[in-house]
Amino acid sequence: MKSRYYLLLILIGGVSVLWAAYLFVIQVLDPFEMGGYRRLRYTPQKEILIPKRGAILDANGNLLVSSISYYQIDIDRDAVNRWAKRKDIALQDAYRQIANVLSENSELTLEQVMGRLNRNDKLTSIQISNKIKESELDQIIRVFEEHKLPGLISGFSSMRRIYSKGKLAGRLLGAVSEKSNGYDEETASRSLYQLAGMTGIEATYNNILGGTYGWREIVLDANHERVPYPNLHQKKPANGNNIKLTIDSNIQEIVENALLDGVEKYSASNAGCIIMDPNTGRILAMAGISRDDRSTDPNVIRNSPNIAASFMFEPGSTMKPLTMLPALENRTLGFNEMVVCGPKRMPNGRMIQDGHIPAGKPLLPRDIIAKSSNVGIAEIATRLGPTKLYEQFISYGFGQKSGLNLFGESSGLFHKLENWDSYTLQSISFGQGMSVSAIQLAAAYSAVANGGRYMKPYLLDSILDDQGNVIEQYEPRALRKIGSTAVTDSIKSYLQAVVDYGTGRHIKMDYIRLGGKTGTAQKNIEGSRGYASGKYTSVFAGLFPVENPQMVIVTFYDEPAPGFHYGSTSAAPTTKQIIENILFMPNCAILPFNERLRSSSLPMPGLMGKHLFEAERILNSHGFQYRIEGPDSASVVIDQFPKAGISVDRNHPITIKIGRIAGTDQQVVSQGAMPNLVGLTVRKAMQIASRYRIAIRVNGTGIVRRQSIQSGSRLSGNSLCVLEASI
Amino acid sequence: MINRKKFDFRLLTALMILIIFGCVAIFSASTTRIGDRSSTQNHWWKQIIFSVIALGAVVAMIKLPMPVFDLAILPLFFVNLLALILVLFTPAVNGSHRWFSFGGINVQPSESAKLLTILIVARSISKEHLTEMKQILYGIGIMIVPVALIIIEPDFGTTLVFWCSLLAMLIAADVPLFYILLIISPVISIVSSFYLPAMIIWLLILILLLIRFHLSWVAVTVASIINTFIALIMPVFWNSLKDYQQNRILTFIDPMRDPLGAGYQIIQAKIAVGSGAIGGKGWLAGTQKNMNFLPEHHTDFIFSVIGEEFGFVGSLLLLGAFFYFFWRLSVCVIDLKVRERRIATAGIMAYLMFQTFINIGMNIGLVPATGIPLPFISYGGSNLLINTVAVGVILKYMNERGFMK
Repeated sequence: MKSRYYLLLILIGGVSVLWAAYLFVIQVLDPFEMGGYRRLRYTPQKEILIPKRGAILDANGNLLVSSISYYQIDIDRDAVNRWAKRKDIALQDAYRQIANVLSENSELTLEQVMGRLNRNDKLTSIQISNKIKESELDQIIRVFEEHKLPGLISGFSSMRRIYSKGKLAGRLLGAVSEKSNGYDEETASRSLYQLAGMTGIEATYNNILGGTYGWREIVLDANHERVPYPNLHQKKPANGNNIKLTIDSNIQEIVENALLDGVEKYSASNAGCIIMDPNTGRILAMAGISRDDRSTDPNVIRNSPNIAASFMFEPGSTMKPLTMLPALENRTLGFNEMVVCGPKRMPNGRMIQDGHIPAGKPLLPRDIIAKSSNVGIAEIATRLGPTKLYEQFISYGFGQKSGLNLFGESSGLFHKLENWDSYTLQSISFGQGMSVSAIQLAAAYSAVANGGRYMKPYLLDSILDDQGNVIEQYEPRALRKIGSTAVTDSIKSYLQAVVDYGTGRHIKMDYIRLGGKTGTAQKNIEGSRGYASGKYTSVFAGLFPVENPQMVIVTFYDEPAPGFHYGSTSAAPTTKQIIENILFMPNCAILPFNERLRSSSLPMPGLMGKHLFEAERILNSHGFQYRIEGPDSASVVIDQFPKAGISVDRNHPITIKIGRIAGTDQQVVSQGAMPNLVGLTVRKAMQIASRYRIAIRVNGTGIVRRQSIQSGSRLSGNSLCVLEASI
Repeated sequence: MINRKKFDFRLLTALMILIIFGCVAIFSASTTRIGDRSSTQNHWWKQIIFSVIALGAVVAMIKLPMPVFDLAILPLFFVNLLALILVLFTPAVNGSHRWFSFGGINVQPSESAKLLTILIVARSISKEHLTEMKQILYGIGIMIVPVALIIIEPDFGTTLVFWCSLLAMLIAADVPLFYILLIISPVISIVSSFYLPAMIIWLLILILLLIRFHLSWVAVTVASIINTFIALIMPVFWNSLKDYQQNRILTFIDPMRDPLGAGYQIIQAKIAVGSGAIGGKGWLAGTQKNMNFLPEHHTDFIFSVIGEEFGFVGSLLLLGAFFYFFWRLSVCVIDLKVRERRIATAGIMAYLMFQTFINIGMNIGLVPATGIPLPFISYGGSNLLINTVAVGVILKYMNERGFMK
């Protein structure tokens, strides 16, 4: 029987030797190359840090577009479970601790977090939210570390653009879209998240706004939790630069509101307006409006063409002053020379109509412009000759892009001289057979306004870094001379004559000297040389004040209804409305004498986002009349008419719109004060109380006679106000 | 009370070495050190406390008079059976009912059932004048009760330990080897049935061996038919299983089929051992452990921590310690002349050996993961206590052995 024990010994020894041999193989011979893991586990990975996209500011430094980054928070339920076991507490209690931290430091409620944590699926990692702001995340991470709470997994989620002024300048600013095809050379990482500019300014200056990616070395353990490994490197992402536009958002707003009104009033399909500073070439406002813009979603608008830059139209009579300028310059036309006007057959056999001007009537150059005589200007162009006119129009910038590099900008249509036929010279002289963009027209009128210097139009005032330091400042640039001061002064006076007694006399303003020219052009049928019947573009190009022009304005309507299709009936009145509003802006320095006007009116205070109570206090303190619109339960001002900063007559009622803004309501209420409810009906008092979120109890019915909390006293979150009411 | 001539000091030394080795390994396994930060959980001093308690229990048991010890076994066995029934009504932890929880201390009745069942089986099959058939039937009959209760828990790994020690006890009880062969033949038939040549060769060897042992033709025929039937029915049975059932069994046999699930632990353990290389990564410096890649590193996978931090040298030292320990146990089996005690010692030795080799095999990726801890090394109070007391029983037998039967 001893043999059995030897068998046993062989078994013990055999297995021991077998195991030892295998250990020798995997540990010493290492055929599976496990030795590589010695360093691998601590090898840091590079985590990409996403830069913040730069902001867009207006000329006054107000934010138009800014970015906010959102972070995602997940909770690893396995880790929480292990932690709870180790601490010997119930899993639900552990969840509650975590939910408390998350809800206290973010906009999530305790119930929401608990609901997510208890979600009944097999995933161990549960997404709690992907809308956590950076400051909230920092706080949450700090608290988690402080209390050694388990399971927090966080990371970049997304970036959003915040449009501080809503729809304002939507078509100009353009839209962004989320992409993940970025590439970072330093880390050789692909598929990087970015917000890419798709249209407008966002697309034009995408590289400036975009920034560069950074990275940070991290060491992750098996649970994908970061371990505090020492000496890790990082490179901070360079946030995108901010850009400051030349756009003045106050003027932009005035222009957009006027166009929105105009598009409805004249039932036009599109409208556009550009305001430019003629002395520098700065574009102060650039607005394009389409028929449905008032009701269209802002994101759709931002993805739509920038009408003010892309729309091409026949400039019509607005070309006449520009044609006359080289003729006066070259002395083929005298300042006081009479030209025979009225409908007439030209030497090349073409019959030209001439409005209401009787045949054979001689007119001075001033009156040719004021009365907008086709025949007169065609005669002048014929004398000047095609070469001179062609060269002049080229130096006005027609047929070329303006250099704004704006997304979707059109270059207009201006035929080369060798392609001109016998009619072209006459057609071009009164703005037919060519098309221009509003930018080109504004730039050409600016050159007239400033005494003959063609200023390069520009939209970008400066580039700032994310701290607000100027990196690059753009200066005005005069590109060329298009005429002498003497001649441009005359043209300006002719333009004033248009408004004084000519085709634009109905928009004459007695407190400012406005010069301008109306234009009406039939629209081309697309792709042919013929004209579409009943489809017009009405244009007004103007400058003011004539003695020292500060602004050049070009306004156009695309396909306004019959009757409004003349430049004088639609574009001109809108221009007047815009100019009036600009002049009455509180900080507008164009009119030295409008102090008197200002004193009877006050600048509208900014009420947006304020709590209703606060807004009412401000309005009352200035003695404004006002009306409140919106649901009774709402308490935050979401809109105001007129906008902040605009001069308002104190007796003219103001409208403020109230609504709910998620998240802000609560906060504002806690700062609120008790309104006066005495003297109101119980029903009204209850409406107001619910709007202010005040808990009330009513004793009696009828009119409120007494309230237990004095009006004006600070409210805490849970104060109860008892109202005594009687009939 | 200790008989200096008879007491096996070398076995005690081997036991102490293993326990100390265990405490050192558990200190490392419950420490996380990254960079210059480190934190240690309190497993290691709990293990030291349990070691002291266990050694105290051994001393107390050696001092206990043998008749009292013999008398106490049967009542304890029934109490243990009751505990195995009661434990089924405790709340499930990780899907099984294995533990009683007394204020933070978890007691696993299946641990003590191993020792008590071995002692009871040893007593019943060591009776004089039992036929071989009766020995086998008594052994199986007693063992089936705790095994059934443990399977219900469910805890499949532990039941394997029972069968293994039963086999060892039958061998020690001088049951002819062909009976052992008959007992294990169905298992081999099942395994060989998946490869036809292997099955044919196995059946031929079986028949030849049975004839060689001069078994009656009837017995040989019945055994052959049963084994052939099992071998033939297995593929049919296998094909009748649902895909997921097949997968579950295949994954148990070959965890690498599912590298992110069942195979994950095995792969990470293998990486840990393999990356330890010759000299190891150093005390507390195991990356697999510190970065949490190695699961359960203070219990089932503690050998991987040793392999990772002390390398081939450390693993070999531990393996050597175990070899020495088991060699001493086998010497005990030879030295003990009282039939019951020799059989019990063989059973205890088999159960410790089975756990040791299965656990180490699991850590180096040669054996499927079964949740069997490494005796004396893995963290776990009741496990350490029972294993130590089991060795204590052998020490007591040795201390009080006579030179005659």
